[in-house]
Amino acid sequence: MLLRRALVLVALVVLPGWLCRCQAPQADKLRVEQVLRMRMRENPPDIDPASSADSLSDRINLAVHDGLVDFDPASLEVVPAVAQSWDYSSDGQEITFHLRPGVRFHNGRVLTSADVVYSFTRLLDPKVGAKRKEILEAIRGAEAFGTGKAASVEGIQAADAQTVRIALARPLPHFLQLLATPAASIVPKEIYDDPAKGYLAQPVGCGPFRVSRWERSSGMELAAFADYYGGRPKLDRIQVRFIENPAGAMEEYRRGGLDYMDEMVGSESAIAKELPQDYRKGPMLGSFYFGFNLARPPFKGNVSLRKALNYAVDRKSLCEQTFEGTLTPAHGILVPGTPGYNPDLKGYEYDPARARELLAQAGYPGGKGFKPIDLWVNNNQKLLEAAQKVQADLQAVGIPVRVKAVDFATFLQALQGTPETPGEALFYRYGWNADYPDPDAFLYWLLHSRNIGPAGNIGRYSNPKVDQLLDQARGLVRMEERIPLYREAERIAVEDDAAWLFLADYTQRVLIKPYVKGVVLCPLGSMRIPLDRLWIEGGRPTAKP
Amino acid sequence: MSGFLLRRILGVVPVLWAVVTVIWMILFILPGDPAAILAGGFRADPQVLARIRAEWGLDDPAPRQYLHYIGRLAHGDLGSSYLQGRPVSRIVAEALPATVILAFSALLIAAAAGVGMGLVSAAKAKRWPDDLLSFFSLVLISLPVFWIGMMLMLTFASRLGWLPALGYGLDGWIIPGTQIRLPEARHLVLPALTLALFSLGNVQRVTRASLLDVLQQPYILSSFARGAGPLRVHLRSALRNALVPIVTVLGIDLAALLGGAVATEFVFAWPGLGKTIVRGIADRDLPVVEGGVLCLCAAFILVNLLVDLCYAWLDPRIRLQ
Repeated sequence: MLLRRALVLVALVVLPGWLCRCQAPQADKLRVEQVLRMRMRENPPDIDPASSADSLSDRINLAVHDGLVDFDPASLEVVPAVAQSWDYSSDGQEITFHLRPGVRFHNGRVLTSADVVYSFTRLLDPKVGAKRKEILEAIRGAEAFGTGKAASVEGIQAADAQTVRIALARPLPHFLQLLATPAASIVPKEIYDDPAKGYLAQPVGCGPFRVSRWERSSGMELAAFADYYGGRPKLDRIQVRFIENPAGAMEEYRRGGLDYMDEMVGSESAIAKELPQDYRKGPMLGSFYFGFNLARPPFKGNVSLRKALNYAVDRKSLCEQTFEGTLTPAHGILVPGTPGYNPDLKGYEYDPARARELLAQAGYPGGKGFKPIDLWVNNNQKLLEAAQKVQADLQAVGIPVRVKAVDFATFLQALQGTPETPGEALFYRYGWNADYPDPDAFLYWLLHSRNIGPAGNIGRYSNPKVDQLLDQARGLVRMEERIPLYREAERIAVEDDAAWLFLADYTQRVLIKPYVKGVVLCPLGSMRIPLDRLWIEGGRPTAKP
Repeated sequence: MSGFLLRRILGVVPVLWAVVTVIWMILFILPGDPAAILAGGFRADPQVLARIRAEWGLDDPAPRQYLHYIGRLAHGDLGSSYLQGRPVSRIVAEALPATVILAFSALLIAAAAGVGMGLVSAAKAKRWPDDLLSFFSLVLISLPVFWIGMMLMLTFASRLGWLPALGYGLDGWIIPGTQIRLPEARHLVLPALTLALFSLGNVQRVTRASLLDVLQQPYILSSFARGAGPLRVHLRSALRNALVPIVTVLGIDLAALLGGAVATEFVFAWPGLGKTIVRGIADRDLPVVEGGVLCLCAAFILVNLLVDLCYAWLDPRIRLQ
């Protein structure tokens, strides 16, 4: 009996110690490594740059793959990447890219111009079904290839192993910017041509990090690519943990289990106060608004009603109280930092009296006769609070609104409907982040009738004058000539047509431990923080031999 | 015995068919277009949408989609994930070990602690230790798992810093010859404890009630009369005979733990099947949801079968007919 009791006692003492320490690194095996630990909400759904279209996949793709050119994360200027330089033809419609010598893929093979031709052709291949093929649609012969009338893309040619010529069918001033987006990454044929989708098992690119481990349910590890043409990254490894629960992730960050977070839970002002060294804020080329379905009543053909809604909402209080100053009131479509942003655009001030007046003009005096309308938002606490604030403002002038919060899949369907019919949602939250720093990234996609539907113009806005201005601006090379056209298009959409309920501009907020150095916030989104420039001050002791 | 097993296994087929049919119908009528999510959300290209719908048969009429689905299942094919493009069987096989490890660890803790607490309660019936333990059990039964998990995390991970808050750990031991990686032990503690607390109250209450019932039996009274001590009587004579209802509740709890690990897996970023199913529902990745639920149902049925077998082992008077 005594022996049993002794054994139980020993187990009680030893077991907790083992549980807590069995994985702890032993002092004699410690070494200092450069390891960044970051959180992603979930597994990146698609690691193929051609078919990915979400920020999680972009985050990984930007670390694993590189394109011909890239954005400088701070200035947003186009800088060399795989291409070390480029020349324009005299008419500006043909660009010759000179590739950097000795660029290698992660499998050790040297990258040549044939890989560029393969990657771009693949993006345009209808069989691949790339989600971002529009970035190359201006290339000569892209349309013929896409419709099966040509076997190859006329405008993409490899002059020699180190030179690629791209000819455009029409001028596109921001074409180089499009080549800096993740979809234009250069991928190796032997991996991406594999019918068994070899890249799903082992993605191979020529970027600064290679995928060294990928457990789809728990996390992935990126290892520094020693032969990276830009020089081996300072970080040895990046541990990416998939943590869906944002509250749990916040706790993990607080206890020191994560170095970087781009989603915060709780009061941001409290977090900023609690973690002043970690909280970083920067500009972001993104806007937040509530859209109207302009193809269906009550918003169809009723400008006065749309203006009434715009005058009824107090943007300042929305941004300061609901969003704690993390958003700034919007007066138009373009956000500060975008070329062509118009600080003088009048937009809509908070004016409930004017809203009531316009509501009467719209045929609903005092809101009489206006059937309650659903405001669709996807499940997210902040969005719900914003919707409730707008609901209160609108109800104050007599516009009855019901907030309808649904899961993202349902929201998407309500918004998009089917290709033939507009979506069920007549009034909905929407957001838009620019993929490239050009007015075209907002105005062309959101307003042009060519993009009605899921391409971007989800509200089905259509104004021939605006279409003409946007097309004209797309054909001009010099920004100073383009800007007046964009400003006029924006003015018409905002002041004449009240195309949607303009609300706020995004800012970027992230939490990064102060010992992580080399951080540059990029206005194109947190996934563009250049990981290859980061390092951990003092390194991190690890058990790896 | 073998006849019993065969009958039980054959009986499983219509149950599984009914389960998969109901799941399929629920997912089918659920709003949300999988093609839209697959095609990249807001900026989905209509051509890509059309191609995806055709490729996955999402344009087919409902009866054809259902027959296609049942036909695939009959051939043991769970299909491929819309989002990941990988076989569902592989996705389920990757996630299932984590859930099983979590559920069994929780069950072990709940069984050991719950039976222990039940023994104390029964021994000290209607005195303060019994009142205290019964109150504690009632509290545990009433608290949501999500809340328990967050509180444990805040206390032991954030405040005290004794244990990691989240995840499976990246350096767990891989079982030789398999792809199954065990979690790092310290990562297992908090999620297993959370789930165990969920089950603990039930086990304590059933153990107490069952023991009190057995302790009224004449043979127990005669054991006391022969001079046996209370500890010996409780552990040697009473507990074995009180085990049948305890095993029943543990069996039910294990099945519930396998399925009910969803909240715990979400809170602790545990890479199990529950998390995979929830993610699948959010993404309308129907094959993953169907495959995952089917797997959980099969586990539930298997656990019930094992519980039945345990009855006969514990009480030879029970015959498996």
